[in-house]
Amino acid sequence: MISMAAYIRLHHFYAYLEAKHNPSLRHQPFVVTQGRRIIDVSPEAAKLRITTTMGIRQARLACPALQVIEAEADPLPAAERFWDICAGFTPLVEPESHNSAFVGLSLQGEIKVAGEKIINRLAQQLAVPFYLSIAPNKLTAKIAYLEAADLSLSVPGQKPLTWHQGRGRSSSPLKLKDREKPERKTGRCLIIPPHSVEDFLAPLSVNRLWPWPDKIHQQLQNLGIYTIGQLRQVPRQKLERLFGETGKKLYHAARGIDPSPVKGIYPPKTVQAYLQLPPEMDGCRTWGALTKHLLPMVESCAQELKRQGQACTRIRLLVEYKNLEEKCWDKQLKNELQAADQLLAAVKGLLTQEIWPSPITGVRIMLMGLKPAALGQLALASYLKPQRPRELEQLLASLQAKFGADRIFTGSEISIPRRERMLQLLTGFGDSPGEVIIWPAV
Amino acid sequence: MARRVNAPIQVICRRKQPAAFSWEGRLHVIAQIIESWKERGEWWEKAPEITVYQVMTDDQGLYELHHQATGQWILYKIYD
Repeated sequence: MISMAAYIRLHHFYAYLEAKHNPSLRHQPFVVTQGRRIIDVSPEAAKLRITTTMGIRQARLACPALQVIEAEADPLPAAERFWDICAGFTPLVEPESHNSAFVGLSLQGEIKVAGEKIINRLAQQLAVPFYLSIAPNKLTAKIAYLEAADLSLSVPGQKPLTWHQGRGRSSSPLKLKDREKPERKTGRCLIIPPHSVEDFLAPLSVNRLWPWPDKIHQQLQNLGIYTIGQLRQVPRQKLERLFGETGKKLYHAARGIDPSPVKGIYPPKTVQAYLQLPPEMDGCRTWGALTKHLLPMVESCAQELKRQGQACTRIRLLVEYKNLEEKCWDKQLKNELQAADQLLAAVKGLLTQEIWPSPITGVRIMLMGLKPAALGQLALASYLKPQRPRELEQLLASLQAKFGADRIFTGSEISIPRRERMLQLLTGFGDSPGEVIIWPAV
Repeated sequence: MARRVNAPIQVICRRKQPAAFSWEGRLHVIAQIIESWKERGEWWEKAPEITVYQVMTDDQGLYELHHQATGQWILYKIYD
C-alpha cells in the first residue's frame, strides 16, 4: 500500500463561472478582477499570454479588446461540486482554495494505472481544464503542479506521465513530445513516484518551495542557494542557525519530506438525516402531510446536535420530487439553531417558499456550519402569584420537554437587580420573589 | 477510486469503536476514524440501521466498514 497525495487544480475556474453567469463573455478574451487585481483569465486571454501576475493596464496593452470583469458569481457552489467529485474517490479531501484541493490516495496497484483512472474520472465530470499531480506528499505534489503548469504540458487527459529518474527537464519526454499536441479541455497529469522525488526536486528553483513566502526564497538566493538541490547540500545546523524552526523544515523540504498529512476536512462535519417516503404513499402534496414524517427526522437531528454540543448555522435541503430532478435549497441562518422546533421552522421556511412542482418523495436535511452551542443563559422570571402555580408548571414542563430536564432549573430565591425591582414595584408584582427558570445550566 | 468488497470481517473494538480488523489473513490496525455516520435504508420494510465508518489503517489504507444492527461487521469498500 502506498500513500500518495494528489493535487488537483482547475484552470480558468473564475473565468468559466463569470462566462456561465454572463453568456456574452463566452469565447471572448477577458480577465476577472477582484479590486484592482486580476484573479483569473479566460482561455482566450491566456492564449494572448495574459496572466494573473499582470496589472490591468499591462493586460490591456497585450490585448486592447480585453474585457475586465469584476468577480460577481458566487464560487462556492461550483467549488463544492468540484470537492464533491474529489470526495467520490477518497474520503481525504483538503480544499486549498475554491479551485484546488489536495486529496489523499492509498494506492495498491501501479501508480500510473491509478493516475489514469483518476484523470479519466475527473475528465468525465469536470467541465473545466484541470491539472493533476500525484506525489508522495503535499509539498511535492504542489511543486509538481507548479512545474507542470509552467512547462505548459499539453498532455491528453488519458495519458498520465511519470517523471523518470535521471532525466533532466530539457530531455523530459513530457515537454518535447507533447508540446506540439493541440490544447484540449481535459486534464493533464504529472506523477512523481517515491523513488524519483529527490531527482525531480534537485534542479528546481527554491522559489518552488511554496509553503514559504518570497522573503525566505530571497534570503536563500542571497546566500547563493538557487536550487533545491543546492539547498540539500547545506548542513542542517547551518539552516537552523540561519532560519530557526523554518530552517529545520527547509532541510526536510529539500529532501522531499513533508510530514503534514492530507486532512479529510471536506465535506465539513454535518448532521444529516434522510427521509424517504414509502413508494406506496406516492409522495406528500402538502406541508401538513409531510410534517408528521419530517418531525421524527428533525428531532433526531436536534438530539444529535445536542449530543455533540453543537448548533448549526447553515441548513441545506435536498428535496426529491416525484418524476422530477432533485432540488437543493440552501440557507445561511441568522441565528444558531439547535432545538427541533427551530429546525422544523427553518425547514418549513425553505420548503414552503414556492409551490411544489410535484409531490415530495424524499428529503435530506444537512445541518452545516456546526459551531459549539453558545452557553447562553435565559432567565425567565415569572412574577405569577403563588395561587397560579399550575400554569407555571405547564410552562416549565414544556420547556423541559424541549430543552431537556437537566437544563431547566427552578429557583425560589434570587437576588433581583435594582432595575427589575423597580419594574416589580411599578407593575405591582412585588409581593412574591417568584419563580426563576434558568436555561441552560451554567 | 474505490473497490467494493462487501465481505464479512472480524473487528476488534475499543470503547465501542473499531480498533482493528482482519482481512485476507492480515490484521489491519485502525489509525484514524475519518468519519462515521448512520444509514437507514427502506425503513418501511424495517430495514435495520447500519453504522458506516471510513477508516485509515496504520499502513495508510483507506477502508469503509459497515456495522450492522445484528453486530456483524462488513468490509464494504477499499479506496485504492
